[in-house]
Amino acid sequence: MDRPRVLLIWPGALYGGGGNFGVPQLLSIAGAIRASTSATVDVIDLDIERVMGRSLRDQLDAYDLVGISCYSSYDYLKVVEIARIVREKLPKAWIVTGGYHASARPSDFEDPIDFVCVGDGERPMARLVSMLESGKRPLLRELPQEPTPHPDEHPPYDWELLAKYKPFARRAASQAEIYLSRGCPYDCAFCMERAKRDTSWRALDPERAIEEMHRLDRFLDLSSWTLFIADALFGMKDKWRKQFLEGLARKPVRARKVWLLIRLDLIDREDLRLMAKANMAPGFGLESGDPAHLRRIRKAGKLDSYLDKMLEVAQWAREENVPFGANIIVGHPGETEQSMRTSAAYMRKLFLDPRGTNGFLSVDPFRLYPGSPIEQERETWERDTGMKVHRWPWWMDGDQEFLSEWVDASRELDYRKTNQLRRELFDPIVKEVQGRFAYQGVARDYFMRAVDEQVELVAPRRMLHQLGMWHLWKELTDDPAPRTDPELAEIARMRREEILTFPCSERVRAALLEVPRESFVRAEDVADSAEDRALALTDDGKSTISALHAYAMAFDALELSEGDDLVELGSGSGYGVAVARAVVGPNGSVRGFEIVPELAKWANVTCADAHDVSLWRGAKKVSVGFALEAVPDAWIEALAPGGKIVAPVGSPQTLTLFEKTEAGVRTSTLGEVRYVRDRASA
Amino acid sequence: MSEETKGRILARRAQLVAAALTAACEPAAKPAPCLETIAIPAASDAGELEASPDIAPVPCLEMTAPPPDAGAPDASPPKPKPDAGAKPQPCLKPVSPNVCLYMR
Repeated sequence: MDRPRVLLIWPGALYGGGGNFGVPQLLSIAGAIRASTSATVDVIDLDIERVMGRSLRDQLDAYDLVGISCYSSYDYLKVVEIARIVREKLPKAWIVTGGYHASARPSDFEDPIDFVCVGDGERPMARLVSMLESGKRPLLRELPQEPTPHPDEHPPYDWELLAKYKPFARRAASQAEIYLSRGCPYDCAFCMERAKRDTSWRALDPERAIEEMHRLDRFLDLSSWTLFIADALFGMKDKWRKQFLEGLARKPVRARKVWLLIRLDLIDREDLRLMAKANMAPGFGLESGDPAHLRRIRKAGKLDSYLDKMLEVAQWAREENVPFGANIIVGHPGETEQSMRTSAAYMRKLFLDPRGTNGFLSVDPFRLYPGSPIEQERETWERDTGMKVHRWPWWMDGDQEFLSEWVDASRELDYRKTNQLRRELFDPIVKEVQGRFAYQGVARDYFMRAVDEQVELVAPRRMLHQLGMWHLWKELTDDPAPRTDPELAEIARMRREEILTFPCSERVRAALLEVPRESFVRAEDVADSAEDRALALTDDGKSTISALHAYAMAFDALELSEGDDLVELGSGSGYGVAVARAVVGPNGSVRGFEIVPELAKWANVTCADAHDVSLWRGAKKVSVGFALEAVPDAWIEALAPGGKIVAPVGSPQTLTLFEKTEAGVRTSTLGEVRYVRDRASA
Repeated sequence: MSEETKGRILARRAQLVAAALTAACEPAAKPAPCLETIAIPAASDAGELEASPDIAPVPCLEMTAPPPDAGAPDASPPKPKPDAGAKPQPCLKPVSPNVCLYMR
């Protein structure tokens, strides 16, 4: 085949929401393919395409080979779906994937994915394209591994492959990415790096590494960007690191800040000084503040002095005005209450220094990554620590974010207990860091964002989401937990407190705050149960639990108060009845009617058609939870003298109050709404 | 595990795939009819929320905008148009430094 056409696709970030620009790993593969074959190569970054509003389908034009990056396990479902679309549009093209996940789990990929590249992609991809040229198809799905011994063998990153994105880049992203090395020979138990097979540290020559950064700067003009050196381990070798830092300090790029990840035990004060000159900032995988737990994690190195070193580095960072970040993993297998308490005490010492801190603390849950040492030695870890993984393989399900974290750390600490301890021990620290973050230099906003995001992660909305997911997946895995869960009730109430800002009477507000709406929604919606929006109660969506403010509008229109008697028509799961009962108190009464038998049972109300007015004749206050073309005359007739009905009527629907007076029916409209329709007349 | 539970698990997966891919891989679709029982701000907006009689109602995935005083966030992301190349959407949330390589 002459000049085969190759397309490399970056599927885009799902959880980080994009924000990074560059896909340097694909550019490196593109360079290797072009250097050894006659192929033309295009690169697509779906994060940027999304911002441009372009459809992938429209761009799948006559390619002979399509590579789709499966960088992490969170990409897996996307990659499979993209491959399906590619196959549909390009039935004859070869489809290949690679990346961390593909390297860890090549057997996860079946048709329509033809080939899986394990480990470094440059050489295997170049070989695959040359086979395409010669018309020879590999026999095995898993391509032979061919690590890159010296990254300098590959051509420079050809940023011009991304030239089409330049006008859009700044709208889609704020950080550029580049790789200067690959590999990390350390053996941290949780880390996915080992999936890439060749873990030896291999870097570009320091001078070329600096030149690559400047080439990117010339292409993009980094002056309004941060730059992330996305290496698994920056500058492992002291000589390389010093040479690189000195060179970059002499000739820095224009980026607002250069961010990198490095091991704490590698750097010294001179590194910090040079980083300050080169406008760089380091992130450290600290993992824990408990030495015994660090040993369990296999944070190899000089563990005796490791934690003291971090204190020292924090001091240097303050003196050199270098911002930094450090993360810990909460709930790592083997974690105990004692290890968490020891770690929290250390973090207080590290981050809550009265002089302020230049660092942000990232508290990360343990996630079981395929290809990590723990995954490879799972039985041993389970036996030794009591670790329990609740959902595996989690990347094949929705809710990956929760499921990857749904692990009991030890016999002593299950998932829920770990999170309770996290709330008690670490949440106060990240909140305090927000007030103590002292770095005042360039790109303070970039680091402050990390500080603020940590606080956002411990906000009631996020905590309720996490607990909601737990309840959902307990149910889905045939082990349902009662919704009468004190922690769930507390957190949901905290979230409602934030939400209940719309105008309503104090009595109704108190009822909305107190009634556990999370008990009246499907397991799928526990996470969103405190939000002010309607949630479906049935698969067909014809029954819903209304938004919080909808109940407030209706009950306040009826002037519902203590001692009242209320009839609710269309009670759904019974939430409105419960709220009304809280409003009317023990001296009042609330009767609900629901036409769907399952819902009536759930709500513990009468299963009946609301149109049977004999059931509620003589009622004084009636709230209707579904939309009508008009309120039937029979309903008005059934009301007690002076009685009131509030109902959504007409099209478009208007929430309307009907009052039965001696002079006739007085109507007042309360605003446009949209309710589910009357099932009886549907 | 019951068939119903299996169906619910598959629905979760489908939801994730749709969330990840719809905007990027498929031309922008007409939003599904929404069955929110929420107040809506103005008569002119009401038409967008109406379900066509020939479309089966589905549980709401597209959140409609609540009234300004309702205190609820608008969860609906802006829908890119197929021909929107010349007019890009506003910038995504700027990133922060990340210490984890695999969750991004």
